[in-house]
Amino acid sequence: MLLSLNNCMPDALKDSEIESDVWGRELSFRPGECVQLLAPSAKGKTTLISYLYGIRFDYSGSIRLDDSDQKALKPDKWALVRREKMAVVFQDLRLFDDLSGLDNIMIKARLTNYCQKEDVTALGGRLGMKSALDKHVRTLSWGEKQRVAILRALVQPFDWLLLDEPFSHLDADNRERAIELIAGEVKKRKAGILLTCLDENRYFRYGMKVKV
Amino acid sequence: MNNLLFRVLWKRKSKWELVFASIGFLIGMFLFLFCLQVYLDMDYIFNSGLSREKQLDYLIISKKVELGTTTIIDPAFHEEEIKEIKSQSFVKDLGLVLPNAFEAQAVVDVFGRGFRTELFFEAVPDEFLDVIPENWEWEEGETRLPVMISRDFLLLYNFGFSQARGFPLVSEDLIKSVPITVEIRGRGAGQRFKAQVAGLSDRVASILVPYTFMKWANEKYGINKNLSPMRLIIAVKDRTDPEIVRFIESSNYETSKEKLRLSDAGFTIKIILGILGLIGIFLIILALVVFLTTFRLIILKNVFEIRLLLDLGYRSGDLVKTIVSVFAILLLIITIVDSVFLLLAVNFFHNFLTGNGIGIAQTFGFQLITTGLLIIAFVFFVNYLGLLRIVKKNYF
Repeated sequence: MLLSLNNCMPDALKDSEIESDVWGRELSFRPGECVQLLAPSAKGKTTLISYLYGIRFDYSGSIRLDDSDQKALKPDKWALVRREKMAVVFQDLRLFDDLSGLDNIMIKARLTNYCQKEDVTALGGRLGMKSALDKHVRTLSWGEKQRVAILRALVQPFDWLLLDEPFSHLDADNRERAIELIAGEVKKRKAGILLTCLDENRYFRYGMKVKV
Repeated sequence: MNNLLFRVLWKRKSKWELVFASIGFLIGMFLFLFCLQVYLDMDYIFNSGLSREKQLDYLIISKKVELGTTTIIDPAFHEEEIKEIKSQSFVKDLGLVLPNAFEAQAVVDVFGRGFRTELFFEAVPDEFLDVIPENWEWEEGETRLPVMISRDFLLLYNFGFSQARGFPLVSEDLIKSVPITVEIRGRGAGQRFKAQVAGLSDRVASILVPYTFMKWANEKYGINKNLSPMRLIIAVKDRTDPEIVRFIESSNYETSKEKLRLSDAGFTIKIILGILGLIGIFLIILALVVFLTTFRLIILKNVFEIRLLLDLGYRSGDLVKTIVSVFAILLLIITIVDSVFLLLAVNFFHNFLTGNGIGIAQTFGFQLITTGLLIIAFVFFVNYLGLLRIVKKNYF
């Protein structure tokens, strides 16, 4: 799925002087591309993810998913996109506190049946989450929650994986494991990655670096 | 149904609103449907399959008998009087209610005891009868005698007499099978007849025999051959014609009021039924509002959950279905419980009626089932559409 921005400008940044490779320009992300979205905070990285994932619409200009205008997609069509075309790790994670880690992942996996329970526990094992998955999310550490959120994004088919500062609370070891897992899953699907981060890094083999 | 979805959406909901709304709905449905059934039964009983018009078109008139007046009025109608009544504009047809001019006694064998009682008969021409039972015709020479009694007599026996004496109740069918021996006497001669109740009349409060029999017996055994009728039965063009009342009052006549009373009683019962039915409808509406509010609350209390579920790729329809499926199960339980209650109540009511000699042709009717299902379907879809609307309004 080709993602393209045409003269897109968030309403919040309309009147500010900005220097950006994204806002107010022509830009497209080709299928299978691995993109690093780089910026200090408050430049609109999360905003871009929200636009692409169809959660926010407060901008001028246009954003297209293949041939469809982002603003014209119907809710049920968005549901389909989120089931099969795009997976996301939100910066604020957004998990159900009252469910276990496993149930948080299963509630997503049930939508497509792309992964069964055993697949999920196997994936969890690779992130060192074997026992933590059965605990209520509210009792987990931030780092464990982050890994639940990452796992939740990987139990569905997708063309694009949107990662919004996904490793912010992981130590180096856990980060390495997560990167390896993600890279493998992305390759399996021949999908692309859009990753936002504050500083330059070499987590993935980026084909494109964009300053937001 | 997705079990996880259910847990996410229902966890914060206290179940009590739903329980109370369900009980209210259950009672409302029961009241409304039971009243409907009783109303249908009443309609059937009062109209006995005939149109209202046909029922009310007949009047029986007699002369007013007053105690304490100095003038003694001859209670019989004479030819000039009959002629005058016949000439009234509201009269369509007029028949004589012939009394017996002979002595009559009945011998009945009831539950091993013999009863002997003085009896009176009356006869009206067949075209004035509300029902003409089988074997009603009588010809000279027959020893069989069909009689017809007022349904009110049976009710009086069942409600009053049998209860006080501890006698069993008598049904319509039973009374028709009781053999009665009737002896008539006069002018030094007599004769016995095997009488049998052939039918029950709602129109004439009397003991009726065929007109042909009465004419023959009065002729043969009558002490006073020129006995004038004390009661007349008239067919009127329009029962509501005020001229009828004016004429009857000015001529110092009176009408049999039983028909009026019966419809009065029916009217009262129908008003009570109407009130109960309205309470039922009110309860149903109240429950409907509580249901809607409860679901609305679920949608609004779970803002974070629903937002996230939608962002994960759930459709609004999936969420509504999860909530509504609980409602569907609830409605199913209510339907089953209500059906059982209604079946028992209607059965009890019908047994009560037949036990008191009131014939009921209707059973647990399809009107009841259709009405019940229509209400349930209506309540379900109002909630379903309401939920969809609330989700769409608040999240898109």
